[in-house]
Amino acid sequence: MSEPLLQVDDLVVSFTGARRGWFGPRSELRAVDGVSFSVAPGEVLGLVGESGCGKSTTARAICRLVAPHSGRVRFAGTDLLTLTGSALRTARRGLQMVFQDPFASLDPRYTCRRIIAEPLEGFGLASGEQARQRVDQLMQQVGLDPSMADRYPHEFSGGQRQRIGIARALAAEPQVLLCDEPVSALDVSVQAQIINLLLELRRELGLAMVFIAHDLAVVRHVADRIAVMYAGRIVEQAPADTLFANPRHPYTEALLAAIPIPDPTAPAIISQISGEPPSPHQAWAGHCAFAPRCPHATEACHSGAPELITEADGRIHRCPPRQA
Amino acid sequence: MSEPLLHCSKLSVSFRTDNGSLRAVDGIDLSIAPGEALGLVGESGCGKSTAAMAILGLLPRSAQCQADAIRLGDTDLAQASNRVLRSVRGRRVGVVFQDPMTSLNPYLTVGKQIGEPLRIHLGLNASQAKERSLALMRDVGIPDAATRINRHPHEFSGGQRQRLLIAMALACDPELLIADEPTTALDVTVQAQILDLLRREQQRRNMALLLVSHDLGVIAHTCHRVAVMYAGRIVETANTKPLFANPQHPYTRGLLAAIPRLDGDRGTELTTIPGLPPRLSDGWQHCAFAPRCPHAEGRCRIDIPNMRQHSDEHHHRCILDLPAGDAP
Repeated sequence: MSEPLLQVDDLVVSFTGARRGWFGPRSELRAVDGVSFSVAPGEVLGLVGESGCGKSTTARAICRLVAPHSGRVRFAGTDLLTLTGSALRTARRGLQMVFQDPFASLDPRYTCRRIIAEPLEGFGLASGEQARQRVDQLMQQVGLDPSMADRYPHEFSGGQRQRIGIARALAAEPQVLLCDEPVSALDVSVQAQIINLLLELRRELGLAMVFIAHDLAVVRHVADRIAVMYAGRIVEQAPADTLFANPRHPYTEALLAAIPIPDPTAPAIISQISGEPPSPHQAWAGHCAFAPRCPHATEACHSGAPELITEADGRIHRCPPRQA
Repeated sequence: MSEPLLHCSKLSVSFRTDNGSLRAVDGIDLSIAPGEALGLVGESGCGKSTAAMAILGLLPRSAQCQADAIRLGDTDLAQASNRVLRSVRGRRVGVVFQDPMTSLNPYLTVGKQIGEPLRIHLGLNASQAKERSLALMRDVGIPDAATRINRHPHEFSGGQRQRLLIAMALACDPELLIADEPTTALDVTVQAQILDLLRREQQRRNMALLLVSHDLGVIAHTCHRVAVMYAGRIVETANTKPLFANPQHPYTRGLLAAIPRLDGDRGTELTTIPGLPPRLSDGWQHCAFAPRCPHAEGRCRIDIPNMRQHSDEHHHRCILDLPAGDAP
């Protein structure tokens, strides 16, 4: 594999909660608990997991929208976590986010043109007439009619707004797009349009992506490699085909079995596991977070923390070999 | 088909707004046989939830509902007084709403809430109601029900709250359960559990089910028959297998083709439906899908197409004869 473009090592993000009692210690919530992965130039890494597993927080911590507790994020040779101020702003230009909610992530008082031009001017990439032309060009690139540039976000539909968000991210000329659930707020017929757009941009611009979603079929379609998160940790990471053909971690297995396939002749979906994802307030220092729901859990799973195991087919997971 | 349990004919709902009247549901016919599971599927704003809520008269005041008939057994809900409707809601028809966070009363213990329909409709006293509530909580898989019956909703997780809502809807053994996007707010592993539960209870009680959903996967696994809605009208209805195997309406075909498949080629371009879902208007005078339809001809933009029969129980609302098995 070529030199990774983005490398995340042992990232930990924690939030402090309410005090216990009036003067007691604040409770700590570990949203991301030692996540490591890397993304090669032009590669798409899918990050999947259920709500509250820390996938969005991981993306936000990578570009320092939330402050990580510890860990390392190397992007194009620099450690983003040690930078501050203008050095940080310059370094993370190549790392742009596309947010989930196309209604909340655009300033309602800005026109579409101003939204897309902001990164151009902020990073000094273009100004004046040059910026105007670049905005028109970006709008065309994402499938919007440049004649609509002077409208406000509320005049666009959800899918169009998501296109504006993508154009804004592209304006900074990034190498990596961090897409946080970019299609989950959209209807099926529009979702397919946005997925096609992202795939096309990837082909044309050679963009790498971290693609976060909870819809496994969407992630499988877009990503080269998939990392499955549970309770703040990556429990399995493998090339997309390998993961789907032969999931190794029991949580991945359960997740795949639970997908409702739009085909009535397909085998019935099975709820292999009972219970629900744990609250992030629980600390899992000692043992596997999935053990309480795992159908294969043994004594050992409830005591020791599972190590990362790397297998020959490029798969990395956190589940000791099972006795048949 | 046997005598339907529920039969709506020409159900329409309009909303009065500042910009005139918007027709959310435009003359739909629906029927559900006893013990049958019908899926009502469509994208946001197509009128599926409005249609389901109109059956029970659960619409906001700005809505005007018209129907030739909404027959539940021998009662016509369209003509019924509020008194009659109240005796039907929760007794003969149970409802599960989408959002488990806002559909429970935060002030009351869950036991009180599950017991409420039992006391009101069946006249049980408090201790009888509590006993039945406890059995219902066990039925829907709430662990440690005996102690948790006195807890408040915030002490339950999202999936458990949805189970409680289902328990409440099932309390009086309804003939029909209306479930409006019951799993949309839930994670996929929890969704699988709730769908299991719904399917099991539906079969065990031989209860009819109207499942409203945008997710064709959920519908495929739960329903016997499917009705596809677009812009307030039903554009296609058929038994589940033929609908998925051999969709007739170009919208149904487009919808099915736009979903990424687990066995499809990765990274390939997905088939899309061009354009945007339609805005609501004061009723379409022609086929509402024509502006987005790749097959549309001049005659599609003249008249509202009638429902046509494709085969026995397979009807669709498209005047064109599309070649079989063709992509959208």
